[in-house]
Amino acid sequence: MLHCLNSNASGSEMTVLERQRATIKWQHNNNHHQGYSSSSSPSPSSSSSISLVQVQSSSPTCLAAGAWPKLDNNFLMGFTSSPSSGFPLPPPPPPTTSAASFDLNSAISRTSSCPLPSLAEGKETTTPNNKRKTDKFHNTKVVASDNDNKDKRVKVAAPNDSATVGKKGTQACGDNSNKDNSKVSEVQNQKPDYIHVRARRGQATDSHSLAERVRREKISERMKFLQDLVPGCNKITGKAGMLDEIINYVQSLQRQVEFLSMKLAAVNPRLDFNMDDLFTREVFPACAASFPAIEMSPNMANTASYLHFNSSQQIDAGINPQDISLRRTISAPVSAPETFLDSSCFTQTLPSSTWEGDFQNLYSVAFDQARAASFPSQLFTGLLEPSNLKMEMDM
Amino acid sequence: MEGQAAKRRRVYSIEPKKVVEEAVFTRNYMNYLVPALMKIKAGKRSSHCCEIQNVVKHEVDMAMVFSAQGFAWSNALKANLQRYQNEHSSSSGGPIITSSKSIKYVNKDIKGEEYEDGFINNNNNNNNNNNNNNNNNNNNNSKLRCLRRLIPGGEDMCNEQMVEELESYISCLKMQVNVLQYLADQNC
Repeated sequence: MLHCLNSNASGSEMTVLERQRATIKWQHNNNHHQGYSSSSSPSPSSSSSISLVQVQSSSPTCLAAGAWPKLDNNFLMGFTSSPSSGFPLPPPPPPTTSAASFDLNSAISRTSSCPLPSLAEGKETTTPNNKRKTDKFHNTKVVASDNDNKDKRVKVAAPNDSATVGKKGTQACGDNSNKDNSKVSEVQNQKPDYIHVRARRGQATDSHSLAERVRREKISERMKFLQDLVPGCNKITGKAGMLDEIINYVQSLQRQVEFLSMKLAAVNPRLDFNMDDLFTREVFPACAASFPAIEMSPNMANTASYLHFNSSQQIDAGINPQDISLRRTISAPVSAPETFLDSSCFTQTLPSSTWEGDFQNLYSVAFDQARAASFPSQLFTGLLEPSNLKMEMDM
Repeated sequence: MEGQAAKRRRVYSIEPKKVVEEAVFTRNYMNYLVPALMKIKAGKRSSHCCEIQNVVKHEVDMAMVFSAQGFAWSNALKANLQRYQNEHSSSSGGPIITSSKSIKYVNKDIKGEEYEDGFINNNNNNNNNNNNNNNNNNNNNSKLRCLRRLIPGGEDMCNEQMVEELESYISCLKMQVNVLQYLADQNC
């Protein structure tokens, strides 16, 4: 974290003038330190970001010792190629969150978002060392160098930066280095909580906007998960396109649900769930596959027919790929019923304790009706009990 | 945008992401729906197709609620259904043609409206520097509004929560479609 050249006050209480002085002094005295150890070698860095990155990574303690001028929110120091005379430091008292800022190493190459949810309350948000805010003469925004190490963000000069209001610092910074970005956003809130957010070039940098940006970035992360869910979204990269796809997909799914429910309603008079078949036949193939070693003589004959039936039923059902994919999920719970099968086959005791209560009730209800749904095989775990019942009845 | 987001607070606290397992969902869904369907068939008095449709739809949604508990959207769906049921029961027995639920999905103009709004906003945008950003933001916002209407209970969610809920909602919708398709195919 950059600590302002602040000899007399903590960073949060710097006045405008002090910050200006700090800025200018920093700009004069700063040099591009490729590797920031305590030595100050005046090497103009090709990209200012590198120096800051290394600064961060090398020695947090150095920084904490006040090597860097502490600036308030989002102050972005400008790096000039002027010969360095060492870091200008009056060691200010390290702020409490200085340690927190050092994890920005990883955040340098991408925008960082802090988990603090209440950003909108106007808490002070500090960006990584790359960006800080400082006041200028008339509280206008001053743009200083951006320590962004992304190539695409490295630009020549600040004049293009729309956020730049004060030109002085900008030009001083921008002219000196070819690749320096200049962006400094103004400190508005001086609360001790620091949320490290990167303000992009040309974007507003007040705390509300930053909070909003953090939220947006979280949303973008979530959208990436959604890409996996929505088929065909892998190729689309833009957020707008993704949103379109998601909307279309959700609408189509909902329409499908509606259509199918209408179909079921239409078919309702002829509703005929063949529970007996399905309970036994659907269940055992998976069962048999899992317990080859278990001798189930009364079931072996059934099993063969079940397998045959099941395969044909899969085709009939018309949801073959889905069924297969659903089957894969059974592999985990299949091991659980193994114990039941053991107990039921050999000890002839009903495994009742492990099933959910409501589950049992539903099944008993269904059984009573003597008509049941044709459960797909993924209901294996649930169907085992009734099928065991049936088995024992047969035996 | 900030004001709108402030209205929609996060309904539930930030929890670790909950994943609905397919087998569990399907099992619960079938457990609920099949007996309900049988009951409908058994207890059918009036043969008004719309009423049956509504009842079936209601049961379908209830099965969804039952199978995927713990999400904001499922709770909102449950509330909707209960409200619908209250309206239903309080009505004087005539066939209920439309309900808030049944027309919910048949809203084809959502996107059209939103695009118009976004377009108008873009035209009025004078800030050249931020023009692209604002255009994109407006479009994105309108789409997020679309999504918000699609997901049950989305009106009360902030953007961030809505996107989280979307994940579970989409996966549950997919599983629901699978189950319903299977059931329908069994009985055709």
